[in-house]
Amino acid sequence: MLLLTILLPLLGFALLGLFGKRLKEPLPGLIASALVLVSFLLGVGLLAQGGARFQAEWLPGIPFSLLLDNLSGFMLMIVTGVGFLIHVYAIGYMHGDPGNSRFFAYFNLFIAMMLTLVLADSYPVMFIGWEGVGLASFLLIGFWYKNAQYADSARKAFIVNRIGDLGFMLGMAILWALYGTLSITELKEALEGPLKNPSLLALAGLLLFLGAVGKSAQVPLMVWLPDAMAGPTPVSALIHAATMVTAGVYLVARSSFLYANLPDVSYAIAVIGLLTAAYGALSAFGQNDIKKIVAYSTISQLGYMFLAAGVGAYWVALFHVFTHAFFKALLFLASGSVIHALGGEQDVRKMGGLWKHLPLTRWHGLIGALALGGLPLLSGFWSKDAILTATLTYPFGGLGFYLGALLVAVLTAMYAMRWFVLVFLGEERGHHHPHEAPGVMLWPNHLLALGSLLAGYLALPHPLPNVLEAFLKPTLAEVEAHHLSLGAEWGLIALSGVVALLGLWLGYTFFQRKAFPAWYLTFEAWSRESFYADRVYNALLVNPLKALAEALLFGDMGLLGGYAGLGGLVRSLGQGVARLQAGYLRVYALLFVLGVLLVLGVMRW
Amino acid sequence: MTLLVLGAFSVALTLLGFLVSVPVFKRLTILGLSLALLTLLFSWSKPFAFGPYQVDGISQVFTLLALVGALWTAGLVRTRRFEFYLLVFYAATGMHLLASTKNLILMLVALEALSLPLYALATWRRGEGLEAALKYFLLGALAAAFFLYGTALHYGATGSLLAGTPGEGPLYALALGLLLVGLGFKVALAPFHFWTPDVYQGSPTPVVLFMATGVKAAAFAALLRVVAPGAPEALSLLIALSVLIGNLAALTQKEAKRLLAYSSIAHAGYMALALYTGNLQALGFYLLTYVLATGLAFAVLSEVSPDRVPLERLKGLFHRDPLLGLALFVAALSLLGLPPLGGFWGKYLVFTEAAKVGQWGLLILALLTSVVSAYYYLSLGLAVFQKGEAVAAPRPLARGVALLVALALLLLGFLPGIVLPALAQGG
Amino acid sequence: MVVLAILFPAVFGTLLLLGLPRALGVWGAGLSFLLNLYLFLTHPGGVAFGVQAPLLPGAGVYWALGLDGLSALFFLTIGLTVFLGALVAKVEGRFLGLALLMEALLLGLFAARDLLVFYLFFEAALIPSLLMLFFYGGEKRLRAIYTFLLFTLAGSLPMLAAILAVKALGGSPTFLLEDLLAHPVKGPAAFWVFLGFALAFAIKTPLFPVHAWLPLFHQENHPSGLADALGTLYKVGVFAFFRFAIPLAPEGFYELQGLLFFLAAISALYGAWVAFSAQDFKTLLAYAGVSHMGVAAFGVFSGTPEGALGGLYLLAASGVYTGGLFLLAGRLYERTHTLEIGRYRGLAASAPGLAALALFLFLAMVGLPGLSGFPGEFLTLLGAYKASPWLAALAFLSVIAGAAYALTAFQKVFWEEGGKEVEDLRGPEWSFAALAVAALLLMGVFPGYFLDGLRPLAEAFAKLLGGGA
Repeated sequence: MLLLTILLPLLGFALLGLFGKRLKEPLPGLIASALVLVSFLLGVGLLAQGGARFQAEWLPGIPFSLLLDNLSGFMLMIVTGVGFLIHVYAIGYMHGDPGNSRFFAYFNLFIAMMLTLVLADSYPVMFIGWEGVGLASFLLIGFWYKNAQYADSARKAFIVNRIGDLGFMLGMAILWALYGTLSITELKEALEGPLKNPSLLALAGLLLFLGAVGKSAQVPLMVWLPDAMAGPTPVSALIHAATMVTAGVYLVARSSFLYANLPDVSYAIAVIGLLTAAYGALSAFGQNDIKKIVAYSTISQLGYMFLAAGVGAYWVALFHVFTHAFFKALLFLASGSVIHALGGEQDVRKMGGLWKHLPLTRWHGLIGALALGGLPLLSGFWSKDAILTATLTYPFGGLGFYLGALLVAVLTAMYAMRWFVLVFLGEERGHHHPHEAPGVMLWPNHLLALGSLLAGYLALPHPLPNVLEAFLKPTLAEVEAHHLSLGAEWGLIALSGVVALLGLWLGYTFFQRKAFPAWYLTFEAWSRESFYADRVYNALLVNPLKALAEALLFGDMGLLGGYAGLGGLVRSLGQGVARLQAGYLRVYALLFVLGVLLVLGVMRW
Repeated sequence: MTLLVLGAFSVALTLLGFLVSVPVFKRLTILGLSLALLTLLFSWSKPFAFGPYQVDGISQVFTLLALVGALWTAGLVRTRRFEFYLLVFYAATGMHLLASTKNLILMLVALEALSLPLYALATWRRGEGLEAALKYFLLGALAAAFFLYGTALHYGATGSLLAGTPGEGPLYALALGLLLVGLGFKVALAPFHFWTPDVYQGSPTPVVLFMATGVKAAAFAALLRVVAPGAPEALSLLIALSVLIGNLAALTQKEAKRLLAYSSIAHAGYMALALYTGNLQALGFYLLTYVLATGLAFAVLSEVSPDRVPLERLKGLFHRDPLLGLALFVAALSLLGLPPLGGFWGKYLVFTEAAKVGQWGLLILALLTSVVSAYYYLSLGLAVFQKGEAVAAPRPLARGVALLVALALLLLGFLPGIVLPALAQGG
Repeated sequence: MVVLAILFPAVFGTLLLLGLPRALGVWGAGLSFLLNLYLFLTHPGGVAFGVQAPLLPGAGVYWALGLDGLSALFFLTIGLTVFLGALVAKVEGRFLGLALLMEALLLGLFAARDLLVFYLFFEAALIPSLLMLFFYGGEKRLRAIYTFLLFTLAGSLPMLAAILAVKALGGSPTFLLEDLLAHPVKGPAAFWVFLGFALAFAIKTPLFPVHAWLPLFHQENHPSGLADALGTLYKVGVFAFFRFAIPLAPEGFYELQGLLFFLAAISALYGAWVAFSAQDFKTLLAYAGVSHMGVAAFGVFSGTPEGALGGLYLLAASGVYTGGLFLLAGRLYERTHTLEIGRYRGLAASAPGLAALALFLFLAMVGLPGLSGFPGEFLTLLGAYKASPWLAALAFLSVIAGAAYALTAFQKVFWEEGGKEVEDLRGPEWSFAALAVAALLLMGVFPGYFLDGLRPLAEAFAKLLGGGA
C-alpha cells in the first residue's frame, strides 16, 4: 500500500509519457492531478492508521525500504497536498502549450521521486528520490528546451546539484564503512551508544550536508536556483519553492540522530544557513524578474530553515518548511497569474498598478508578501519567530545567530514589500491589457492563501498549544532546549513583530519613491548581479575547468602521438638492421666470421 | 624403406629424365615423393636402424615435413625443364638422410647432398638469382667448413662421431659451437642469416618455398640431435639475435618474399627455443604449422608471380580471387601466432619449453618481438583486402591445396590435439 | 549448452559471411539472445552447462567451458547488445556476420574455465574486430587498426609469458581455473606474473595511460555503431582482473595495488573530463568509457565484496548502455550524416522518441538511480571507499564531470533549436528502444536479481584477498 503512493504518480508519468500525445487537453492534467490526490489520500489514510513500512530486495545488503512515520507523513502531506494544488493550477497555466502532456508527465515523475525521497528509510533509497527529483527538475527547467538559455539553466541546475550529490554519496560510503548499514532505522540504533569514530562521523555528516547544500541551494552552491526560474511558473512553485529545495532540510531533520551528536557540524550548518539567509535577502533587492525576486527569497528562507536545523531545532525547521510551502507557493502562483495576465511579461519594471486589474490575485500577492515579510499573526510570522527564539534556546545556537536572523528578517520584510509595490502599486508602466486568471488557477491560490494565513497556528509559542512539535517529536532526535521565562519569550515575540512591521513599513514607503539615494543604487547594482557569484565561479572554476578539458583532449592526442613515436623508433631500428643487408658478399663473410667469434666467445669454456 | 624408395627413384629419375616428357617426369617425381611419404607413414613410430642410418621419431617427423615441402614445390612450379624436379628430388633425399642420422660425417654428407641441388635451384632465374646463389654457395661452403672442423674437434674431444655424445672441456665446447654455426646457417639463425633475404628475393618462389620448409625441417632435425642434450650458451645469443634482427628488419620491407625471409629468420629463433629441452613434440608441431603457413604464403605468392612480389601487387587479391586472398590472410595470422590458428599452439609449445628451463628473459624478448611482428604480418595479410589490381590465375588444384591448408591451420588451432600424440611418438 | 550458445552465433556468422541475407542474421542474433536469456534464467548456480575435453593432451590444457553466475550475466548482456545492434544497424550481411562471429568469441571468452582457452578467445576476438574496422572503417582506419592491434598484442603477448609462468611457478598440473587457483604463484615471482597480466588487462580495461588506442578505434569504426558496440563488449579488462590476474597472483597484486588504485582513479576522472571537450559523439563515448571502466576497475581493485560486485555489474551494464549509445549515434548519423555534436541541435522537436531513448541511455551512463548504471557505481563507491578513501573520492569526482559531459551533449544534440528535422524512431528502432529501456530499468530496479549469481564469487574473491565481508 505504501509503495502505491509512489507507484501511482509513477504510473501517471509512464502513461502520460507514452500515450500523453494522444490525450486531449485537459485530460493529462486531470489524470495527473487525480493521481496525486489519490496518493495524498492514501498517505493520509495510512498515517491515520499509525504509519506503515515497506521493504523489498534491492542491492546486496541494502534493501529498498520505505517508512511512513510522522516525519515522512508530514512531508508527504506537504508534497502531495501542495503538489495537488499546483497540479490543478497548472491545468490552467499550461493550457494550450504544445507540451502539455509532457509537462504533466514530468510533474508526476517529480511527485513520485519526491515521495521516494521522503518515505525512504535508507539513505540509498533516499538518494534514488534525491537524484530523481533532480532529474525532474532538470527536465522541467528545460521544459521549453528550444531556448538555449533555458536549456543551459537546466543543465547548470543538474550539474551543481551533482556536486552536492557526490557529497551525499561519499557520506553514505563513510557510514557504510563505519556501520555496515545504510538503513536509517538501523543507523539510529547504532548511534545510540558511544560513537565509534567521531571525527570520521563528523566528516560523514558534513558530506551529507553538502548534499543538502546542493539540493537546497545554500551558499556556496546557490547559483543554480535563480536560473532555475526558466521553467514554467508552476514548476518554480512546486519544485523550486515548496518541496524539492526543502529536501535538504528534510535530510538534516531525518538525520537529526546524527547531527545531534555532532555539535561542530551543526554549528557549520547554522552558519551556512544564516549566511545563505543574508545572501538571498540582499540579492533579492536588485532583481527585476518577478520570479527571481521570489527565487532569492526562497534561498533566503531556506537559509532560515538550515539555521533552525543547525541550532538543533529540527521541528522548527520543519515548521518553517510547512508555512513556507504555502506562502512561497502562493507567491509563485500569484506571480504566475500576473505573468499570465500580462501575456508572458516577467519584468517588474514593466508592471505596476495591477491592483485594480487583478481583483483576486492582488489579495493572493498581498497575503503571500505579508506572510513572507512576517506580518504578525500570519503563518510566516509564527514560524520565523520560532526560529528566532530557537537560536537562543537551543544548545547549538547563540546570540550572534539571533541578531543576524533578526536583521535578515527586516530585509525580508522590505524586499517582500518591494515585490508587492512594484507589481501591484504605483502607475502602470507596461502596455498590457491585464486579465484575471481563470478559476482553475484561482482556486488553488485561494486555498494556499488560506494556508498562508492559518498554517502557523499549528505550532504556537508556549504556553499556547503546539500540535506540531508533539507530532514530530518522536521521530526527531531529542535536543534539550532550555525554556525561556514567559515574559522573555513573549518579549522576543513582540520584538520580532515590531521588527517585521518596521521592515514592512520601510519597504512600503521606500519603494514607492521616485528616486533612490546613490548608496542604494550602488547596492542595487551589486545585488542585481547577486554579488557576482556566477561570474566569480565562471572565472575561477568553470572556465578553467573547461579550458583544462580542452587541453587534456589535446594532450591525449599527443599521448597517442607519443606511442606512435615509440613505434617509429622501433621502425627506424628495423631500418638500421635491414641496412646491414647491403648485398656485399665480403661484408657478409666478415659478419659471418664475427658471428662465429661471438658464438665461441660466449661458450662456457 | 623410405631411403630405399628415395634412392631408387633418384637413380631411375636421373636416367628417365632424358627419355620422358617433362609433364610425365613431373608426375613421376611426385609419385616418388608420395611413395616415400607413404612408406614413412606406414612405418610411423617403428624405429629402424641400418648402420649410421637410423629411422626414429625425429627422422620421421622431420622427413615428413621436408617431403611435404618438396611435394608442394614440385606441384607448384611451372617449368619446361626436368632438371628442376630432379634437383628437388635429390634435395629431398638429402634431407631425409640428414634427419636420419646421428653420425656427424654422414650428416655432413647429407648436408652437402641437400645443399648442392639447392644452390643450383637458386640460380634458376639468371641475373639476380645467380648473384644470390653465388652468395649462398660461398657462405654455405664456409658454414660447411666450420661444420667439418666441428666434427673433427668433436671426435677429438669425445672419441666419438655420434652427435649427442656427452663431453666436456674447451675442445668439446669449441666443437659444439662450430657445429652450431654450421647448422645455424642452414636454418638461418642470426648472425648466420645474411644469405636469406637475398636468396629468398632472388630465387623463384617455389624454390623459396622449399628452402623455407624442407631445409628448415631437415636442418632442425640435425640441430635437435647435435645441440639438444646440453644446449650451449651460445644458443641463447643466436635466438635473441634472430628474433630481434628478423622481426625488426622485416618491419620496413616492401617486398613480400624479402619480408618472409626475415620472418623465417625470426621463426628460426622461436623454433630454437625448443632445443633447450629437445622436445620433439614442440619443435615438430611448430615446424608443422610453420611449414603449412609459410608454404601457404609462398604458394599464394607464386600464383601472383614467380618473381618479386612487392606488397603493392598483392592489393586487390581478395577481390580477384577471394580464396587465395583469404589463404594469404590466414597464413599471415598463423605466422603471427594469433589464435585460433595453428601457429599459436606452435608458439605456445616452444615457449613452454623455454619456460621449463627458466629462460624467462629470452621468452619475454621473443614475445615482445612478436608484438613487433604483428605490424608486418598484418600489412601482408591486409594488403590482399585493399583496393588494387592484383593479378592471379591459379589452377584449380592450387586453389584446392590452398583451401585445404588454410582449413588445416584453422583446425590445428582449435584441435591441436589431433596431431600431437603422433608427433610425440619416438623422439 | 554453453557450446551450443557459442557455436550458434558462430555458425550464423559464418553463413552470413558466405552470403546469407542480413534479415536472417537478425533472426540469428535474436535467437542467440533468447538462448543466452534462457541460460541466464535457468542457471542453477555454481558452474553449470559446462564441458571439458582435452585440448593439448598431456600439457594440461582443456577445452573447459562453463557458466558461473558472472559468465551468465555477461552472456545475457552480450546477447542483448548484439541483438540490439543487429536490429537497427543498417549494415550488409557480412558485417553482421563478423559481428556474430565476434559475439561467439566473446561468449567463449566469458565462459572459459581454462586460462589458455581464455587466452585463445581473448586474442581471437581481435580478428573480427580488426576486420570490421578494416572493411567498414573510416579514412584513417589503417592507423586505427595498427594502433589497436599493437596495443592489444603489446599487452597480451607478454601475458602469455605470465600464463606460462603461472603454471610453471605455481605448480599446477593443468591450466584449469580450479587447479590454478589451488596453486597460486608465491614469492617475488608473483610480482612479475601479475605485472604480465596487469599490462594486458590494463590495456583492455582501458586504464590511463594505455587507453590511447580507444578514441581512434571508435572514431574510425563504421558510423552505424555496430562495431563500436562490440568493441565496448570487448573491453574485458575488469572482468579478467577479477577472474584471472588477481586470484592467480594475489601477492603480486598487493604490490601493485596502490598504483592500480591511482591509475583507476585517474582514468575515471580523466576520461570524464576529456569527454567534456570531445567534438564528436564517438570520441565522447570513448572517453566516457575510459571513465566508467576506471570506476569499475577501482571496484575490483578494492578487493571488497561490494567493490567487486559493483565493478563487475558496472561492466555488464555499461556494455548495454554504452553499446546502446553507440548504436544511437549510428541512428543519428543515418539521419544527419554527421557525428559532430555541435551540428545536430534541437532534434527533440522532430524526434521525441529518439530524444527520450537518448536521455535514458545517457542517464543510465551517468549513474542515475533506478537505471542500470547506478547499482554498479554505488556498490563500487562503497567498496572503493573502504579500500582507499582519498583516491575513491578523486575517482568519484567523475560523477560530476559525467553529468557535465552527458547533459551537455544531450542538450546540444536534442535541445535548443536550429538543426534540421529528422525522422523519429521507426520500425525496428522501436523494438530497439523498448528493449534497451527495459534492460536499463530492469537492471536498475532489480539489481539484486542479476547480482545473486555474482555474490558468492565476489565474496570468495574478497576472502582470497583477506578482505572478508
